[in-house]
Amino acid sequence: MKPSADTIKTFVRDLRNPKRHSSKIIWVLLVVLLIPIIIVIPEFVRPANIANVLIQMAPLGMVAIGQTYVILGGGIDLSVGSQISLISLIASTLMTDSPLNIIAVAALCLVCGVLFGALNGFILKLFPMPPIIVTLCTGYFFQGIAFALHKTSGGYIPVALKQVLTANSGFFSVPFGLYVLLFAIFAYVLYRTRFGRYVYALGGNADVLEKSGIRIDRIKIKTYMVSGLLCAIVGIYLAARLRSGSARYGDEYTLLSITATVVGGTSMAGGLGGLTGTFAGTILISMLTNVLNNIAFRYNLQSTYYKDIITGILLISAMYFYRNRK
Amino acid sequence: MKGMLAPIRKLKLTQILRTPHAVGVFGVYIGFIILLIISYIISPASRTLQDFINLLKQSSGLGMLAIGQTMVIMTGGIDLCLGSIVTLVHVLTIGLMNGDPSRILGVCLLGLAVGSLAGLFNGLGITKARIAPFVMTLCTDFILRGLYMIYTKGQPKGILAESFRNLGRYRIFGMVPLSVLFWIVLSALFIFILKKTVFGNRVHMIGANAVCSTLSGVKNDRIIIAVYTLAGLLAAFTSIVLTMDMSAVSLNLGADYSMDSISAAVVGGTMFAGGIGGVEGTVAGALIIRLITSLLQKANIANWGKLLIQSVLILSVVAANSRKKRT
Repeated sequence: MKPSADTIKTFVRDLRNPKRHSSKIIWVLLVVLLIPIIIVIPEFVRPANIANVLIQMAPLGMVAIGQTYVILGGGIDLSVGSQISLISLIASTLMTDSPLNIIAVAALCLVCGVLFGALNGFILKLFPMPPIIVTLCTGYFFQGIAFALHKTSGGYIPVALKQVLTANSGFFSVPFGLYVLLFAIFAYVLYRTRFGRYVYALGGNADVLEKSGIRIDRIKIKTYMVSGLLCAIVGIYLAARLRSGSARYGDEYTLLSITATVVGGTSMAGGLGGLTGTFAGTILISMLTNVLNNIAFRYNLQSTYYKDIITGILLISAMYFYRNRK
Repeated sequence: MKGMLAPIRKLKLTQILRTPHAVGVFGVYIGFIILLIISYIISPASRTLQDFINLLKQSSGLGMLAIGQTMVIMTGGIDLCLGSIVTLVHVLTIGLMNGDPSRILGVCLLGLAVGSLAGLFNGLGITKARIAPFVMTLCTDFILRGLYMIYTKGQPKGILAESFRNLGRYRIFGMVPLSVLFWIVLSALFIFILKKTVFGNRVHMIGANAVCSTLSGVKNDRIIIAVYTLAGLLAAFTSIVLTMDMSAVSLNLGADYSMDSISAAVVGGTMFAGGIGGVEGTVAGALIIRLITSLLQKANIANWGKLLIQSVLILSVVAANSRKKRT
C-alpha cells in the first residue's frame, strides 16, 4: 500500500492527539533520537552500556510509576524527592547486620513510605487546597526531618543488602528486574482493575465519579499511597547502592519523574495518558542522561549541570507540545 | 498598556487597612508584634534599636523579593524560580564586576535585564504555551541553576568594587541601611500600584476570575506576562542589593528565597486561590519569616527547624483560608 498524503496526515494527527493509553509520538521520538546517537557515539549500543542504562533507569522508572498514578488522578506529587531522601536515611540509621533486622527495617521503610503518601492524601482530603502547595510543603517537611536526622550522608547499610539489590549478570540485573516486576503489577492494576478505571475517572471528571457513588477521597489517597510506596522502594535501593543515606539523594527525582510522566503523554490535568508512555519517557531520560555523561566525560564537563538544563527544556517543550489537549 | 498606571481613585489610609483578607492585615501585624515580644522575652540582649534595625535589614531582601511573589500569587500562579534568579544575578554581578568600579552600572543593568528576561520567559510559557505556572517556573529554576553552575563551574570567583561595597555599608542618618530604604520605597510603590491603579485592579481581577476579566476586555496574557517579568526584575534588584552587602560570592545566596517568599506572601494574607491579598500584608509576612529564622538560628536548629516550621506554617495558613468563602 502506498502511503497517500491522507494516511500521513492521519498519522501525524494521531501523533499529536495521543489516545487514552498509547502515545506514539514518544516512541517515534525515541527511535529518531537513537539514530544520531548511534552515529555520534557508537559505544552507546554496546551490550555493557545498554545493561548500564537499564540499571540506571530502574529508580527513576519506579518513582515515575507512582508519579503517573498521582498525575492521572489529577494531582501532583512534589514531595517524592524528599520522601526518597528521608526513607534512605531511616533505612541507613536503623539497619544492622542481622538478617531479621534488615527485613524488619525494610518493611518499616515501606510502611513509612505508604504513610507519607497517606499524609499527602489526608491533608488534601481535609482541606480543599491545591495539591502543588500541599506536596511542596510536605516535601519541605520531610526534607526538614531528613536534615534533622543527618546533616550530610551517613548511616550504615549492610553489605549483604547491597549485594542482593545490585546483583547483575549480563542483561539481567536485580534493579531492572524489580522495576519490570513493579511495572507489570501497577500496569495491571491501572489497566485491568476497577481501581485503575477510577484513577482515570478521578482525573477525567471527579464530579461524575463522586455522583456515581464512589468515594473519590479514598481513590485520591490511594494514588498518593502508591507514590509513597514506590518512593520507599527507591529510597531503600539508593541507600543500599551507596551504602549510606543522605538528605540529598532524592533531590533530582521530583522534576525527573514529572518529566518522564509528562513527556510520556500523561496530561497534567489528569485522566489522559498511562504507564506505557511513562515507560518510554523513562527510557528517553535515561538514554539522554547516559549520552550526556558520555559527552561530558569526553570533554571533561560536569554533566549534572547540563542535565538540569536539558530536563527543564524537555519538560517545557513536552508541555508546549501537548498544550492543546483537553 | 497606555494609562495602566493612572490612579483610579484617591488613596485613603482606611481603605488600605480594610481589605478582605482572611486574617486581615491587622492580624498579621499583631502576630508580628506578639512574635517580637516573645523573642524579646527569650533573649533580653536583643531589646535594642540596633537589633531591630538589623531585623529590618535582614528582612529587606526577602521583603522586596516577596513583592513580586505576592503579585504572582495574586494572579493565581506561583513562582518557584525567584531563588535561582537571585543566585544567577549575584554570581554574574560579582563575576563580571571583578573589582572594577567603572563596570558597576553596566553590570547592574545587565543583572536587571537577566532577571526580567527569566521572568518574561516564565510569563510567555505560562500564557502562550499554557503551561501550569509551577511546572514552568520549576523548569526555569532548573535551567537557571544549570546556567549559574556552568558559569561558575561550581567555584564562583570575583570580587566587588570597593565603591559598590561602600554603598552596602552606607547608613542613612548613621543608622538605616540603603536596603531598608529600598524596601520601604518599593513596598509603598507597589501597595499604591496594586490598590489604586488600573494595572493593580486587573491583577486582582485575573486572580479572582480570569474568565470574567477576559470578558470585560482585559488582555489577561499581557498582565500575567507583566507580573512575572516584574517578579523577575524585583528578584534581580534584590540580588544586587544583597550583593552590596556580601564580602564573598556564594552559590547558596538564593537557595531559600523561593520558599521564603512564598511563606512571606501567604503568611501576609495573600491567598493561593488568587485575587485576594496585597503587599501591605507581605511586609509583615517577611518580618515574621525573618524573625522566626533568627530565633531558630539562636537555637542553632536553623537548617532543619526552618523547613519544618515553614512547611507547617504555610499549610496551616492555607488550610485556614481554604475554608473561608471567597469575597
